[in-house]
Amino acid sequence: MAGGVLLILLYSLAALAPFFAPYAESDIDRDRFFHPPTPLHLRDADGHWHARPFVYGSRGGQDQTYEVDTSRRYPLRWWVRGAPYRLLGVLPGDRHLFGVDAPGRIYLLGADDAGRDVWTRLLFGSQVSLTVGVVGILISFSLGLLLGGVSGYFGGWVDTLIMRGTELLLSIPGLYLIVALRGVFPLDLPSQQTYLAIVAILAFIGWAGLARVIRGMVLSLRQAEYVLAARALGASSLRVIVRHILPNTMSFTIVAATVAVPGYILGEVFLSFLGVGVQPPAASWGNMLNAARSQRVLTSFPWILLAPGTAIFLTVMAFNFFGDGLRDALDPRKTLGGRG
Amino acid sequence: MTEPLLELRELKTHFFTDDGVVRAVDGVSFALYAGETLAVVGESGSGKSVTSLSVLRLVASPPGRIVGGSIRFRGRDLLALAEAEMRAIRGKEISMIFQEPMTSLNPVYTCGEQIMEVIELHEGLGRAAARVRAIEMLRHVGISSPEQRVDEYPHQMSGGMRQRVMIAMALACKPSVLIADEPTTALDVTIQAQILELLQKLRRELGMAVLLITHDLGVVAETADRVAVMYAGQVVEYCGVREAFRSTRHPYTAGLLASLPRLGDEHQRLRVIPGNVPNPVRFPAGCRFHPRCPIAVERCRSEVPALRDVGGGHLARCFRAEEIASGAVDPVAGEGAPRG
Repeated sequence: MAGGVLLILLYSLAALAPFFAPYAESDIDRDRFFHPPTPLHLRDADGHWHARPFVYGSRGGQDQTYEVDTSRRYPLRWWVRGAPYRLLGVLPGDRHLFGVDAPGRIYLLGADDAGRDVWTRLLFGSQVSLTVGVVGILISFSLGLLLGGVSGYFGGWVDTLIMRGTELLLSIPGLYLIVALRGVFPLDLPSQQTYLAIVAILAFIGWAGLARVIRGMVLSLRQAEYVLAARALGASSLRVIVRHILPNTMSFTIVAATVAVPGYILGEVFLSFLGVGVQPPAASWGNMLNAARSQRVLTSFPWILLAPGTAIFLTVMAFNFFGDGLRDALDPRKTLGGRG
Repeated sequence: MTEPLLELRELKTHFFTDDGVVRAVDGVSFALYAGETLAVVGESGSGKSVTSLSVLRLVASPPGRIVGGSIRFRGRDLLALAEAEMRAIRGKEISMIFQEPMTSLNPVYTCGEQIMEVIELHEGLGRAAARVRAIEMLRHVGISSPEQRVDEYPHQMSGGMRQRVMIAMALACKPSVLIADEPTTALDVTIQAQILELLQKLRRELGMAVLLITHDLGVVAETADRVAVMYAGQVVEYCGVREAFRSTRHPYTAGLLASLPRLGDEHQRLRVIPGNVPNPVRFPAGCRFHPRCPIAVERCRSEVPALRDVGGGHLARCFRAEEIASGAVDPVAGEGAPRG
């Protein structure tokens, strides 16, 4: 259940990203390319303690090397006014959870190649990366459930047609298929449409595997007497599939969906990493990783890699643990034991 | 006599399998009149269940298909109806209950929801009104505190109660025909009697006709008005329940009756009909019962006997029906000395 708690936390952060981030999504600072993380201090260089955490200013900037300037302290301020935003797309606001007074800058996780705050971009990137999985799952599972259900229920040529379709889809290596499908859409789409395109692509290749499993389950469930009973009492085929058969596959489906979400998140990361996903200045975890490709970045500015890498790692693990937990909780042998 | 409510004429339902054509129902005719109970009796594999499924056109297709004959209900040929018209009849005009109360209710819905579904389907009532009707139906089938039971799931109920719920579902729209496919086979004896009593009570109250499929001659004697005995996909004897037990005209029926244990005959071993039900892919030539018949003659091996009136509306499919009637031959013991 730790996975579930972590997921709730991650999704809350994503939803309220503009508030938790001290800066706007693409707030560029030309004087601070690749600025290292600014640690929070409670004790200054002279040994004095301060009640309010602060960060030091910095000097330099040539060749992306910075020196801490202990003569300038920028205390951390809560609930500060900053870049205006619309929370969840509707609530207007300009308050941020924390910030420092200009000209100081707070880089909890460092800055990237354009002097943008990595923490801020991580939060905004999570809006893309975390929702792509859920939206993708919703689409592909609707498709998979319906097509698998129809295939298993009717059998015959309908079944053959749908199953050969899924085999065709499954026989093509996934990553190549993603890239090939990406080629269908123009490269220079606005970020909103790129997002939709990615969801569509991932959902399109994701339904096939599920449809096959659901078909198998429906094949056995349609023999159940309650299916015959429902038909004998006048229910139509679609009604029997949707109301009587598919709900009986739900415990499996919910677990399968949870475990499948990371695949979608990684799919988006993969596309953005290749540079054909969400384009900068819009942030996603994939294009943040993309910025960490070069040897120089890896060795000199490791936070560029570590921040999105850790975020992806945590999310994927959280989903897997959550899925495992659900599987145990929904296991019929545990919950329905004793009867029958 | 008045018009029959439901009339089957020369119904043929065949299954087209890899091993050949299974003639599960091969020329079955009978009629069901309003308000009566007609029992269809036979061993496993005699085609009685397939006959009942054929009436509602629920035979799995492929491999099954109704290849000939007619089913007339209130003057309409059910085989000529469109699927949507057929759906309007199922559950509303002709309902069906099944053998296994354990599996004929959907485990994911409450009993109330399942009864309400039928009502909503056929009468377009709103949820609240349907719920009131569902509670009323549960009370009608003898379930105590129906206001509570309506929200319970099938697994919270016993087999007998589930069968009552199933009956409530089937009768929710007050159909004129109820097909009961071995409704008591899976229940223990005391519950069997209660369910049969309930069915008889509801039959009288609702004025419906019951087509009772069973292999239990005890059930037949208690509840049926008339009997159709099936063997190898055909009706072999068709008469009033009194005639079936007192003056049977067919050696198969006679054999079934002789195989019943009798009180006071403790010294005798149970009689059995020798041999097995023939393979439905290759029925024997001539009379299908001749290999097991103790009184078979040469003619039975080559000629197919017709189902004919052997006196007073009593139909039998045997060349020697008159000899059985006159007592010239013993249809159980055979021609020679009685066997132990």
